[in-house]
Amino acid sequence: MNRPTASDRLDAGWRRLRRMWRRSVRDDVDDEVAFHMEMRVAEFVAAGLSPEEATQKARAIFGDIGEVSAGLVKIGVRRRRRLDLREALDASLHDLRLAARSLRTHSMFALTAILTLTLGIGASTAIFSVVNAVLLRPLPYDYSSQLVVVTQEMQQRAVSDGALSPLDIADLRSGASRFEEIAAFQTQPNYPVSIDGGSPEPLTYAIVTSNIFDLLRTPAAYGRGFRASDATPNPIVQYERGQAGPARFRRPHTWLISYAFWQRRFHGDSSIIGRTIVGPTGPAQIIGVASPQAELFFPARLNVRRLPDVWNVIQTNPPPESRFSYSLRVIGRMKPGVSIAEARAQIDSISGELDRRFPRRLPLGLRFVVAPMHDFLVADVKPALVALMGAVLFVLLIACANAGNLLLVRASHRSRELVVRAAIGGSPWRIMRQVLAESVILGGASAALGVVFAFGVLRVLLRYAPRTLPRADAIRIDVTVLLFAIAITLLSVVLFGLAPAIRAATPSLADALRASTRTTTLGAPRRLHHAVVVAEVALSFVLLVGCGLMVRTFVTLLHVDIGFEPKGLLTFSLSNRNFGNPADRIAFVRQVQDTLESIPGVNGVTLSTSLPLDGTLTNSSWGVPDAANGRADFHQGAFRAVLPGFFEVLRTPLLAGRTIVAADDTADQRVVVVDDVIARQAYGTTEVVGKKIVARNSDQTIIGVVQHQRQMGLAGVERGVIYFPWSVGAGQAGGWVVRTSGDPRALAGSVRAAIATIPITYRSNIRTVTVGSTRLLVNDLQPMTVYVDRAMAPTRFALWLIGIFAMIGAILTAVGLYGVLASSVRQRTSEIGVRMAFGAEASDIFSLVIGHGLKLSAIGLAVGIALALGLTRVMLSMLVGVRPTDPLTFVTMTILFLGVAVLACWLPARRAASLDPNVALREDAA
Amino acid sequence: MDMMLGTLDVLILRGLSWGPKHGYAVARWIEGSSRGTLTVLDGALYTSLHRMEDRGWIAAEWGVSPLGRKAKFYRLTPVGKKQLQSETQDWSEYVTAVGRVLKTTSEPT
Repeated sequence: MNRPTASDRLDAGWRRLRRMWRRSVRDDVDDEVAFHMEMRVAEFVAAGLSPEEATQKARAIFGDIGEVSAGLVKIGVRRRRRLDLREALDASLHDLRLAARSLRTHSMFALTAILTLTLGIGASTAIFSVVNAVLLRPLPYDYSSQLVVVTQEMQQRAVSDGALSPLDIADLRSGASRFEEIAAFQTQPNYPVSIDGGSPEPLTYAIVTSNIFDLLRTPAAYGRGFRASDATPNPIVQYERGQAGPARFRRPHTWLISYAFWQRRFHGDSSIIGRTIVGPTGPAQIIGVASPQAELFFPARLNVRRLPDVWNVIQTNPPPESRFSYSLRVIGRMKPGVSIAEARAQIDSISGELDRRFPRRLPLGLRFVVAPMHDFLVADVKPALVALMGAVLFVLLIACANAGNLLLVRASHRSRELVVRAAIGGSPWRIMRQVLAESVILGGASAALGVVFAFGVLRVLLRYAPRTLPRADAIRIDVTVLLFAIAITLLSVVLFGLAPAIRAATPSLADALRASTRTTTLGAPRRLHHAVVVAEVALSFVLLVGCGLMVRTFVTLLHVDIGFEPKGLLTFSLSNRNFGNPADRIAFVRQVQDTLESIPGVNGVTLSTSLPLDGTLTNSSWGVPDAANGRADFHQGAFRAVLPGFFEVLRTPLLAGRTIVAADDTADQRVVVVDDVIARQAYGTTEVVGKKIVARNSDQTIIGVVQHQRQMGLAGVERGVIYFPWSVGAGQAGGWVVRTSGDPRALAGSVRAAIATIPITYRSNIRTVTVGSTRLLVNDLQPMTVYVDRAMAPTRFALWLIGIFAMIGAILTAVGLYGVLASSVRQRTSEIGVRMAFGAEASDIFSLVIGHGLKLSAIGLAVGIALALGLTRVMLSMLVGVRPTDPLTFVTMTILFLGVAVLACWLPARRAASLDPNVALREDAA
Repeated sequence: MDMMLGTLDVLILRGLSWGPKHGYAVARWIEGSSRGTLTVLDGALYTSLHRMEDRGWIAAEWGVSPLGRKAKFYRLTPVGKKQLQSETQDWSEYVTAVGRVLKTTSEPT
């Protein structure tokens, strides 16, 4: 037999009520009709008919009695229901008015409760709006649940989230029949593009397969999108010594520009279609404006630019050797009805097919990984957001507990009033409704204020949100968020209002009488207060532990040895320079270096293909030569080409050997510096100077070992770095680093000015087009500390939020503890008087009250510790160098919390201890 | 003679305009004042009464009939009075108009 649920019971009650109405209405109708018939019969009998004939005639002129009566009952029931509802509404409005008046007269109580709940509701609403935008709302593409991201992992070398090669993608596109489309792309910042013959501008550049906008369902806003025919084969490029640019070019590229760039740079000018702009690879014709929705949502760690300014098409016919050059990101759209498991199975089988065709793949353990695009985007931030949401709901619960306790205290203050009202026949339902009405008003006011508060919180939150938070621009307070606010308000009202309402409706005469005379016991009503305070203590302890763990993580990160000294370093990159031959490139670099070094206050200048923590590290393979079998054991690592002086300028400690000097910086030297990670991985020691490693397809001699510079983040295992002399390994771009003894920001102006003096002629790759320019583009000019700050940002952000929540929680709990003890002291005044009369000292009374508070706290702490042990696990991904069950944190927070508890108990205890026994004995506790 | 739709309502309102009456009394009043010309099923009368009560034109109260029996008495509400006035006026205008048409002797050109 099933036990009836609440809704069953509600249904049954409603049915009973309707039966009741129907019965009373039917009785009325029957009475009325019966009376009528009697009168008619009497009338006809008086006219001379027999009673039978009279009855028959009366029936005849009435019509169908059954049908008419049923109709009358129907009208009556409808009317009754309407009237009853109106009455209930009137009564509720009346209750609300009364409650509002009562709250106005107790404005301190009302303000405290509203303030408390506003904090809880506002903070929860703000955090929920983040969770809603980032985790809950689907990506802004049509049928976005069909979208997946395909990455590649090298199981043997612990590489995941890797890019794919153009040829693998071609095989995926032709083989994956369960997909509508598979598209690939690559983005690049600071891409120099010259518009209308002007100086090149640093644009964000995307090179994509022609089907990407079809896949995303974002057709061009203006002009046309890409067609397969736009992906013409690469032109044959011929370099001649001393000349820049390919010898000939088949035809201009076709580019789309982004909607935002169109608005920003061309003010939405429609004549832009067909115009030619010039990039490093030659002139390009603008064929259309991409949809404003054309955005590339990828996690921040992959360094994909979400909003490219210009879009170009990947040329088909990649050369066979590009089979193992992994550079492209891949998105797929599954056909309708295809499950992610089916899609995975197909991609896996294609991967297996590739393994058979290219045995070179096997030792790498290559495998394609398919993940829903939204999941892939938020995977990094999800645990932290869930933890924050949990924390803020704890704050809300604590706020509810506090408000509930306030209401309970208030109810106990008016217990005599309520008892009297009950005694003179006030219905319990009526009294309960009135107390609930107060809760509803408090909840409503708090919800309204809470939403306003949430707006403010959100503004601050978004300003300090780390850039790793995806879709931050979609965070706002919308209908879903408002519904959430209403839902949690209702929940809060039930949580904090119901117990006091029930308590008020069922006052025990005995309790009330006891409360109004001398009492020496803690009556039953106190038990509820105590339970609520214990719950508060437990919840806020969990928050404190969470905060403590974040503090420890933060401190750990602050003390991470990042392998260089970021203070005093200014970094930037230069773009728009395109050199056909290495000699020009080297001469140019030397010129920039000399110019920068001549700036007063500059102590050192260096250049590297990438900088630590700038997020652009590449992944290449290197190996340890094995003389025995002539093969090498390969690993993954990062390659970097640096100018002599790189380690000195960055102050990276040299562990063995020497650093790169000018003499090494020639193309025929095969020397490298490695960091300790590489050294240990290769030979298990840092004593590796003179030994060889295989990189860039040849043996390299290790001349020095430096300390590892943190590359991608401050925590976790990272791949090592191999440093080549600049001339050997340099590409076109790089990060310049300038060291100064002062504030690097102050140097920014002079660096710009110095760069502007470098006389250059910008030459595009097309021999016929020569674009004159006197200006090099200086990009990302900022102190090196910005990169370090950025790496700290997610932890700092989470620490701030959890810290604030923990503080609010602790304060609210302290207030709650204080409130309960204060009201307890008030109610026990006469007891305390008796104790004093029997010789208790003030200090005894003091410790009695403190002891009472501490006992409650201790129970709460015990529950809190158990709770925290179970819950802090969700923070695992946010923690560095500390376990979720870190004993030190638990102990520290316990002591801290006991301190807070003592503070909260202090005032009530002092008041109790300073009571005059004569007065106390006479005091009526109520 | 059968009655036109809605006419019954006006007649009942008129019947109640002298003071509260129970349903039977209203029926008798209609029969009496139309000298038996207008016949209406008693059931229809009660349906109309209840419907007008639901609309708030009339109000009902249980009371004691002149013969000492418990009966439901109906009385006009202010809304009902207004309704009676406007319907009476509509009705006379209608009757006048119809009468005028029927009395026309010449075919209009």
